[in-house]
Amino acid sequence: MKVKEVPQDDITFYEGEKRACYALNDEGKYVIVPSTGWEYEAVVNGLAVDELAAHLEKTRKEVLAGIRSPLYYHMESRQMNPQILAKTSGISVFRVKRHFRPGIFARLKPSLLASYAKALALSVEELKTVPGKSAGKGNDT
Amino acid sequence: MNAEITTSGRLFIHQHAAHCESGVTSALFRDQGVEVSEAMVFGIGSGIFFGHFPFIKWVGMPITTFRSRPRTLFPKVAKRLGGEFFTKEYRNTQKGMAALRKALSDDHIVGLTTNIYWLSYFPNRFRFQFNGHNIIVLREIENGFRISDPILDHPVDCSTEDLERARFARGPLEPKGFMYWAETVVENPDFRRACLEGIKESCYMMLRVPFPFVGIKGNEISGEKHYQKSGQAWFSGSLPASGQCGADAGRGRHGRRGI
Repeated sequence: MKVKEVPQDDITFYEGEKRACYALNDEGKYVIVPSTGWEYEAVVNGLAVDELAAHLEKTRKEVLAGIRSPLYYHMESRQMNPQILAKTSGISVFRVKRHFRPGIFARLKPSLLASYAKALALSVEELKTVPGKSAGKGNDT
Repeated sequence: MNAEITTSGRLFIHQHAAHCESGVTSALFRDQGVEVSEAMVFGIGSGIFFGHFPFIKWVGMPITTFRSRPRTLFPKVAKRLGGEFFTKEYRNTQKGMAALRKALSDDHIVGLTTNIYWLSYFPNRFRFQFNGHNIIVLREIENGFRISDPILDHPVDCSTEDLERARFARGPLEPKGFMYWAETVVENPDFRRACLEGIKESCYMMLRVPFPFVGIKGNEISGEKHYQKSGQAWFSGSLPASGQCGADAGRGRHGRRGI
């Protein structure tokens, strides 16, 4: 790929950042060229992000319907899984999974809630609720 | 344009790189006066690799990687080019951060292994739970640190809280506050020998490892066999995963998520 052929499609999710690509210059040597993104990359990345966002939205509805606890939603929104959350919060996987049940989550001790809030970088109030409407597309934090 | 100064006012030129670990390693060498490009470091450290692991799932999709495992490149380059390096892991967050501050005040530029999700200076879609991103800390600033991240084309600021979370994140391949810097390096390293060693190991990894899923065997599995078995499912299943590998962090980070 020549320097001039490096895609510069200015795709939105780079948010103005640039990524390094290697390309051949006029002398036939490889140099680093900052790229503002490739539109195909945006499409493929969009597929994956949409899938995650749809999953998160489904979880949010389940929480509102009382099938899962808000903890599960916040874990997913932080792109964690029960294993990572358990290690981060210092609570065993078995207990973390148990706390995904809304009834049990509602009765948790403040100390446990505090360690979850710390692990997920949220306040305790945020941890107890889920956002009223769905988060924006691809906006995962 | 991208000139930065370290704690004692030494000049540091930030260079954009395609991969974080090779970018950091080459920056450490350049800071010690050995001019070595990122691409050279990548080759010497046998950075290239291919692996497709249909049985390891990340958000429900199989993992494809085209870079060697994080935290293998730096030790290999250090060994092959020669020099003395300080490397240490910390279990305790306070001790880890104190050691970082001390190293900075001793006028080192410090390489750190971090979790990319908690580094909030990245665009949202670059961020995911991956514990193998490498950055260089240049100096301490008010409420944070000045950071040279080879993935971005300019140095950035990072808050202390973010950096603490990122360094001591838990999960697969925990960074454990891993910290490294160059004490001394060999001034005129034998590049020829180092390159040969790197090439030999890369060839072995790509061609002859007696294990499926890696190297050319992984190539076969990810392409043809997968396709034959599930028809169009290859596109709906594994493309977004490898796509996000490639796209999100791709040449940069994501690719070497996985084993």
